[in-house]
Amino acid sequence: MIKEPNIINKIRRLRFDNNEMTQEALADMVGVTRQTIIALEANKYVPSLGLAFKLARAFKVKIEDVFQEK
Amino acid sequence: MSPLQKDAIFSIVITAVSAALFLFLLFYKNFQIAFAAFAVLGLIGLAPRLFYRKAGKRLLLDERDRDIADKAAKVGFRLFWVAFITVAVLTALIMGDGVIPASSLTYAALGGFIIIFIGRAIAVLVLYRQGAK
Repeated sequence: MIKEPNIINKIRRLRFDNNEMTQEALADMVGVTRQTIIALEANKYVPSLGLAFKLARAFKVKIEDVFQEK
Repeated sequence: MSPLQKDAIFSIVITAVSAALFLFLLFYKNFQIAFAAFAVLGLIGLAPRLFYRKAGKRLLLDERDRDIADKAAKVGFRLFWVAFITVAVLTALIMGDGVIPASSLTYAALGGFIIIFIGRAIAVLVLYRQGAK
């Protein structure tokens, strides 16, 4: 069985750095539900590559500035 | 709460109601009448109309929800497969080359339906609780 990589993210930090963007606003920007943003911030969900790029674009940073391998 | 979670809870409640009705009728009437209680399971078919109707621009399901739905469906089918093989092996062991009543096929189909739906519903609730990492 392939072991899933442990990926952590800085979404919560980046949200606050971006004028305290709400979870709802970020969810709308990247096209997911607020529950998914909550799961992402709690590091309970590893997004698809497509969603990871959308999140990075929403914060205007590189993808590795949002996600890191633990 | 996601529409998938509402759907899962609805499926569990409907199955519990039909099982309770079955036991009630079995106690007060007979098996034939009691078996009709499982017709209540047909209400599960209302779930798409009740929970998946789009309200304005609000997004109902995203990639995480679809991921959870896929994993839960696999759990439901795996449980069904385990139950199916177990029942088939036990039937062969107990009955040998004997004859089984044709109605047992109906019961097996209904049992399979319940296992898939309940297994899927419980898996949905567990996966949302775990965050579906």
